[in-house]
Amino acid sequence: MEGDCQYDHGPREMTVGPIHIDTFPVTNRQFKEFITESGYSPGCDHNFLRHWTGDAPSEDIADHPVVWVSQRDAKAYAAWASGRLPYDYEWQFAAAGPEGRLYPWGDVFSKDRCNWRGPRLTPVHQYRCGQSAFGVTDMCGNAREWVEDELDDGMHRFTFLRGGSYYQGPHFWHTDGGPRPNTHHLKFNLLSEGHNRCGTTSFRCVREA
Amino acid sequence: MVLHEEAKQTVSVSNGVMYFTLDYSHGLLLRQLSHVNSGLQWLRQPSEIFELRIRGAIFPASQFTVTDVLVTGDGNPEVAAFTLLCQEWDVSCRVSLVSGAEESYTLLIQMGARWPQNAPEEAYLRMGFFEGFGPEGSRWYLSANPVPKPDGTSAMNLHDDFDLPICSIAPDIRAGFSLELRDYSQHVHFWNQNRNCDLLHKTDEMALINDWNLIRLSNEPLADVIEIRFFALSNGWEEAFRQWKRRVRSEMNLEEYQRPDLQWYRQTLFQHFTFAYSSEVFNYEDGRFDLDRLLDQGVEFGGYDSVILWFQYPRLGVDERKQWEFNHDIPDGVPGLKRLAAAARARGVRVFLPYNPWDTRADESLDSIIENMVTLVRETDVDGIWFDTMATVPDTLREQMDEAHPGVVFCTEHEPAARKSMETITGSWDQLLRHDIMPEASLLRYLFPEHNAPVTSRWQIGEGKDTLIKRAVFNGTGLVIWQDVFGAWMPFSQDQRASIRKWKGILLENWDIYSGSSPIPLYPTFEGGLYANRFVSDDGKGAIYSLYNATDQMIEGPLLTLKEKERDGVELWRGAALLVRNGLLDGAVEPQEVLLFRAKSRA
Repeated sequence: MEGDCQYDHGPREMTVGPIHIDTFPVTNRQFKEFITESGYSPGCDHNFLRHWTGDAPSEDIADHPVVWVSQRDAKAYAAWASGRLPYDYEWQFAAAGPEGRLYPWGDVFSKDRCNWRGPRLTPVHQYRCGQSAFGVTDMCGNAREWVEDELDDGMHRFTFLRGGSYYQGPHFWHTDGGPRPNTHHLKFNLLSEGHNRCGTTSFRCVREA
Repeated sequence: MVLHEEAKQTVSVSNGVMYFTLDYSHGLLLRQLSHVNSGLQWLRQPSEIFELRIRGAIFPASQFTVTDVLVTGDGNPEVAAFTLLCQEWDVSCRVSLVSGAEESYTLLIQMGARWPQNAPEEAYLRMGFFEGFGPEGSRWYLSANPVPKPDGTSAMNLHDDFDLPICSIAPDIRAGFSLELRDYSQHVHFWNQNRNCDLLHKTDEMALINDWNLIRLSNEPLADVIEIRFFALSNGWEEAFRQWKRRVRSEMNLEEYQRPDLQWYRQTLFQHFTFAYSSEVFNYEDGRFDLDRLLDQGVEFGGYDSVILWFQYPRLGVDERKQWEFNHDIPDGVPGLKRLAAAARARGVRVFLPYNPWDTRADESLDSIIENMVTLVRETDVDGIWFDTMATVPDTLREQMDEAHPGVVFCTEHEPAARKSMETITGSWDQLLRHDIMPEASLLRYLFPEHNAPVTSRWQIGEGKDTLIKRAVFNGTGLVIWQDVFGAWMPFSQDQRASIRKWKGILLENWDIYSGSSPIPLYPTFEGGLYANRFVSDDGKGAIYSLYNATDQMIEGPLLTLKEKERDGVELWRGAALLVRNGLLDGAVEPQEVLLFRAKSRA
C-alpha cells in the first residue's frame, strides 16, 4: 500500500509460550456450535456470517475456515473455547517454527501446499502438506487470520492479519492479497464491526499450556 | 499588403504591425522582419528560414532551388508561397506566409521527398532565423519554460494540451513577437510529420536555436512540418498571455462553468480529505462517524468548505466486494451517508464521495458503473464525486447525473487531461507529488480561473507543508487539508494552521480580485529570482501582486512596474513595508518569502 505499517517491526526479543495453538483455523461447523451453545449475538450484526444460509452454514462449507467474523467475534469464540487469539509474534513463531522458515513448510513458496488463488475457500485440512514445523496447518493462503493485538497509536486503532489469503484483487491498489510468507502481516485499520468483517478473514485459538 | 518585386526577386508582406521580406534570388532567405510599432528590426541579420540536415550534410533554404513563386495580394488571405527543391536528395519544400485574423501571419513549411529505393532517410530540421531573432537585450519566453526557476526548470506548471506561445520580447519597451504553434500530436509525438511539438518542448533557448529536430518525410506529397503563427506584441508577456488565452478559450465550450447548479463549487476552496479510519472523523467508542468533531477541528484552518469521505482504499480488495458494496458496509451504510451529507450542508460544508476506477471487475461495464454512481448520489444526496487517479470523465456520466441529480460537481484527482475534459470537469486538484513546488505558477489557474483546483501534496511535512501554503498564497488558490495519509498521521503545525486560516481570510476578503477572469502568471519583475503573479478584479478596481523571492538573499529596491493608476497599496500577508515610487513597487522581500501587495487605484 501507499505508505506503510507505521509500526515498530523490531528486531526485539520475544518469549513465546508455553502455549497450545489450534492445528486448524476455526471452521464454520465449530462456530455454529459456539453460537448454539453460548447464544452469542454481536451488538452489531452487519455482515455477521453473511455467507451462511439462515443461521447455519451449508454442509459444503462446514469445514471451511469461518469468515465474516470480526476480531471481537473471534475473541468471543476464543473465550468460549477457554483460549484467546494468538498475538502477532506467537502466530509468526507457530508458522515459522524454531528454524524461522519463510513459509510454514520451508523457505520456498509452493503452490501445491496452500490454497494460493482459490477461486474460493477450501477446507482447513486440505493442505496438510503445508503444515508448519509444529504441525500447524492452513497458515498460508486460504483465509487470513485475526490476531489478539489491537493497537492504538492515538489516531487509529488497528490490528494485523496473518498468512494472506486465496484472494488477490485485480489491481495493485487493491489490498495485498494472495498467500503471504510468515514474515508478512497486513495492517488492518479497524472501523465499525460490520465493516471489519470480511470474506477472507478467519482465526484460530491458543491456550496457555 | 503584398509587394512582389520580380526584378529584385523579393516579396514583402505586411499588415501594419509586422513586415516580412523574403529574397528568392539565391534559394530562399528571410531578409527582414520588422516590428512596425516599435520600428525595430527583429532579425539581427538576413537569415535562413530553415536548414535541413541529411546524413551529415547541411542544406540551408538559401541553397535550395526555387522552382515556383506564388503571390496573391488581392484576396483574403494574402499568400506568398515559394516552392523549393533540394536536388541532392530530391526533397521538395513549400514555404508560405499566409495572412490571418488578428493581424497575424502564419509561416507554413511543408516538405516531401522522393527517397532512393523508396526508403526514407532521417532528415533533421532547424529554424535558422531563430539565431539572431530579436534586438539586443530581448529575451525568449519558451513554451515549455517561459520563465525559469533558479535551477533552470520551468516556473510554470504546464499542460500538454495547452501549449503556451514562444515569445521574443524586448524588455524595456515590451515590443515583441508571440509565435503560436499548435501541437496536433498532443500526447503522441513520435510519429507525426508536423514537428511543432519539437519547438514547443524546448526548455532552453540554445536548444530552440541549435537543436536539429528529426522529421519524418516518408513520401513525395508535401506534408506540414512547421506551422508558426506570428503576432506582434506591444505589451510584452502580459499581452502575449492574454491574447493566447483568449484564442484558446474561444475554441472551447466552457458553459459548464456557468451552470447555476454547479456555482457552489467555485468558492469551495478548502477541502478536507477525510481518511475514514481515523480519529479525525471516526469515534471508536460508538463506532460511528463524528462529523461535528471533524468540522470543529477545521475551525483552526478557517473552516473546511468540503470534505471527501475516503473509506475504500486501503481496505478495498481484502475480499471480493466491490466499492459499491462498501457504501453499505461502512458505519450506518447508505442512510448514514445521506445523514452525514445533510448534516454537513447544514454547517455549510459539502460532501464528496470517491469513485475508484481501478476497482473495476470483469462483470462491470461503463453503463453499470454509471448506474451505480448515479444510484449512490440519488440515495445519499452527496454534493460531488471525487474521481480517484482520474483526469477524464465520460460525457455520458455527466448527462445521466444531470438527469438524475443536478448540481453534482465532478472533481478529479489530476488536472483534466485534455481540452474536452476541461470542459466537463469543473474542479480538480493541483496535486504535486514532489518537493520543488516553488516558485511555480500553475498554468490552468490562470488560463481557466473558474476551474477550482486546491493545491495538495500529501506526503509533505515540515517545511514542505510551509511551501505548500506558500504555493497557495502565491497562486491565489485554496488547499486540500490532508493530514491522515492512509494511516500515517502528518498534521499541520499550529503555526501552519494559523497561516492557512489567515490565508483563507485574505482570499475571501479579496474574492473579487482572486476570482477575476484575467490573472497574469509570472508577471515581469526587475530581479532574477523574484517571481510575481497579478490578480485583478473584473471591474479593474482592485489588483493584488503576489511576489516570491526564490533566492537565499534579501531582494530590495524596485521590484516590478505597477499599472498606471496604481499609486498606493498595502501588503496583506506579512505586513511588509512595500511602497509605490514613480509607478514602481519598491521594498524588500525576504528569502523564500511570499508577499501580497494589494494595489489601490486612483482615478
